[in-house]
Amino acid sequence: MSRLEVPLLSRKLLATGDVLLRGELTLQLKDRNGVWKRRVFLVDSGSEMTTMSAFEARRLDLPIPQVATRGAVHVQTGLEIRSGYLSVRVRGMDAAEYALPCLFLGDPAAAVRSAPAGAFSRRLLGLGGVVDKLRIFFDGTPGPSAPYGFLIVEKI
Amino acid sequence: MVAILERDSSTEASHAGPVHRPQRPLDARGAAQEAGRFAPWLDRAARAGPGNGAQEKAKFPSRIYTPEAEERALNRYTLHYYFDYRGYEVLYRSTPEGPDVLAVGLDEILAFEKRTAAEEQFDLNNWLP
Repeated sequence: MSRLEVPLLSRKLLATGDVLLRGELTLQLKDRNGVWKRRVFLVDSGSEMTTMSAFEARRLDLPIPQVATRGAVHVQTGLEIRSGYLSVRVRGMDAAEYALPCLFLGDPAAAVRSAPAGAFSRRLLGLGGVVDKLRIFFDGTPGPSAPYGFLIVEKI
Repeated sequence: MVAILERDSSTEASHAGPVHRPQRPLDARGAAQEAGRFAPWLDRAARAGPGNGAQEKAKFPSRIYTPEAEERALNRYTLHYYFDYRGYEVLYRSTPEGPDVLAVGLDEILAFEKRTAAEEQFDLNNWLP
């Protein structure tokens, strides 16, 4: 079984002193020519579907749908969506390749600048089409070099 | 998902001690000019307020808060401090002295990746807003 433990990342909100945690996973994305491109995704159990910017996907030469989906927008950003797939490998795990459904957000020909800071540039690894291939969970037990615990990913 | 940003410097007033800021505003272009190693702010901030690494380190035994964890915190806290409210991804090399910023924003990151051999990129890190 291929398994990966990644330390959870922390930061402190200066205004309140609260500790904020996140889990990030480095994926390799296969472009149209079969070249692997490294990208970090924020693991978001609150996201129903993996998302990334259509503009970035095009710049990376990833295969994305030509036409935006009609009759649906991404509610959080108001951006148009293209429903496609990412061919990925998980860095740090075996070489297994996964096809993960992904919503490519926005116009692939134009960078989005009107969304709230951070929202447009975030790559989110959501649940749909992922959790049947990869078991992803958070364990807050501290470990060496991981004061706030780990993001754990296992191949199913 | 909830995004929490430290939007302004108003909270600094409640923390004693100086806090280093870039001397001029950073934007997509300005950030490129600022690329390079950022002076870590944690040492100075450590004695001043709750957003510091010293308190963090004191909370954990040394077998947990290893030098690797300390370097990660130093690098990421520094990047949060400088870039959190700007919305740009940052490509950096982690060092014990602080992040060596190589590219800021998608355009610079793609350009860096294009001109840099894949094996040289292997140990680099990305900071996401």
